[in-house]
Amino acid sequence: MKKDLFRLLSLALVITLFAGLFCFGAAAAGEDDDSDTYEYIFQDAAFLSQKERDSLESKSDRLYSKYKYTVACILVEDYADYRCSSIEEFSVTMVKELELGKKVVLLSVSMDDRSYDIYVTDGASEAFHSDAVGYYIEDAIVSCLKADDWYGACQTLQAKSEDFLQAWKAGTPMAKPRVTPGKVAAVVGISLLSALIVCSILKAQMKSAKIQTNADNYLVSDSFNLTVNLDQYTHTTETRHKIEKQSSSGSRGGGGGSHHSGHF
Amino acid sequence: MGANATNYQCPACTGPLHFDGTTGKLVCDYCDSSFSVEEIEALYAGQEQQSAAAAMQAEDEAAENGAYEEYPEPESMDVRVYSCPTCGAELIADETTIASSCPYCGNPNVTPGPFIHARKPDYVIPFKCTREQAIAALKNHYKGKRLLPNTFADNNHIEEIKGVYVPFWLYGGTADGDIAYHTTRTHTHRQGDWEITRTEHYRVLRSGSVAFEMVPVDGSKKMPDDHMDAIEPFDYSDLKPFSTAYLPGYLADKYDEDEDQCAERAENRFAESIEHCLRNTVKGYGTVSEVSKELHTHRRKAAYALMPVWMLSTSWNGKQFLFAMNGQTGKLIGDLPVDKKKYWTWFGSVAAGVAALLSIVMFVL
Repeated sequence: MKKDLFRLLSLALVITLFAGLFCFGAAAAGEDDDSDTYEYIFQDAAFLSQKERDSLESKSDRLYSKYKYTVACILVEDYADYRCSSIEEFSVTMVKELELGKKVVLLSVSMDDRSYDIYVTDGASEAFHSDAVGYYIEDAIVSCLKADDWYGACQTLQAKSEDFLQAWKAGTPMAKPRVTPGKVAAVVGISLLSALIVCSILKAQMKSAKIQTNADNYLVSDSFNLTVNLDQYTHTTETRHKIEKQSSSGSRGGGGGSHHSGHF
Repeated sequence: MGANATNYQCPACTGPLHFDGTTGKLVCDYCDSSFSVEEIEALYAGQEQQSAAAAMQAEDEAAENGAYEEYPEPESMDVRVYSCPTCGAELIADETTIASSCPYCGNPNVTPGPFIHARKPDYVIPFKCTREQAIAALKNHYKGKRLLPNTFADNNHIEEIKGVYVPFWLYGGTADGDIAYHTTRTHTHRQGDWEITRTEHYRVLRSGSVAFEMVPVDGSKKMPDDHMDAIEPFDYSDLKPFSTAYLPGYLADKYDEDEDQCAERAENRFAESIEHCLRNTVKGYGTVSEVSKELHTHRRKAAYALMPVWMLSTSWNGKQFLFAMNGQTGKLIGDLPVDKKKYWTWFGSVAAGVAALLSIVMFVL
């Protein structure tokens, strides 16, 4: 009896916290939203139309029904409004607070600093290998985000996730191909450069007749007399560069799983 | 009538003497007697003066009689005819040549005539390397040259090999310079999400002077400057006061670019070196760029020296290749032809090898 009462109180507390957190975020963003009617697509401003949101929600719902994986999107004005110090921490927090489950692929987008994070929980890593997410999903999503196509970004996440899930279901989870255009270009470039250096050295060996440009071999020993030796400080300049967090994988923000985050 | 040429004859058998670089003595071609330079100099001191006087007289007579052989323009400009005192052959020599070997009897001849009207060399470095060593050095020069055409070493023929005393001007002097540099030191540190780079700027001034001695510049237009520069350095510890006794068996060219004409090359080298000296004192900076410079050179009167050089001329596929060997140190230089097929084979092989290695590392492992 006591145990049942304790469970009931705990559940009420969690629901209260989640509602409070999301209401706070929505209030901070200056707009109320009917978040509680959506399980997979969240926003604290009107980034997506009702029709778009319904379509995305329906698709994620179908994915969950078929594969038991949650494919979710959260679009917010600023992750800092949710008391998070980074977009990665925001993703981890949201997965917990919104109780999205253990097998989650989440796209978080923060409009204020134009940052994004594709968060794959530990439970989902079986179907979503980190390097494959970076190769197949991230680039496609970033190109949509750069065009301010939020709906396109969410659609891309869902479509690509379905590909991943189908492959996983078939027993061959998607993996980053070993041969990529970037790697091939690097191999070709380095090879040609190496060949050029080696051949230049060999060719230089064939030429030994050259004009002498200095008389360093004929200096009278100890004859160099340095009469002025002045090093005068004039001024200091300072440059600042924002350290960009480019696509990075691995555990971040205090939760398990992998993140592919950056700015668009 | 050709001008008379004098040679050193063996005091024992009157055969011709030649200077032997390995022993540093004059050796008789016939009886193998050898004599030191000093001994022959003493013996011929009086004879050279007489010979020079006779040569001048003969020149005057030849000019009066129009006896010099005339060649069609432009060849006639640069040649003169001498007769070999041993076999009577007429020798055609460059007008700036002051010693030569007879191509018919091999008799080493010395013609003191031009010395009378031109500046006499102050120094000479005698030959140490022999003709055979020069040929061996040339063969050795081909080794390890992976782009050398296969047929080059086998099919090219040494068309001419001659030991030449090349006229060099040895310049001494000083150079001074004032150079201003702009230098920077950079420190980078991280502050939150920001990378902050602080660059300290400095104005660096350097002034100084340095002295040079015996910077060699060849005074012969016939000798390619790049070849003569590349066979440096000569070991000046072998520098001897000039004597014609070192010349038999070798060609000896008189300078055809005088001290002033060659001075620019020496002064440019002085200036480059003072720049190096001053630049080497600027240390501890990330970047150094020159803002302004003022360089001055001051040269003293140059010494005139004859330096030993083996010149080897070869032909291959109808092209001429010239090699020069320092007759004292044995350093041989000369440009070699590049086999384009080999070049591209090497290029392809290296590229393919590196690509294969990288592919294994990046795509397989």
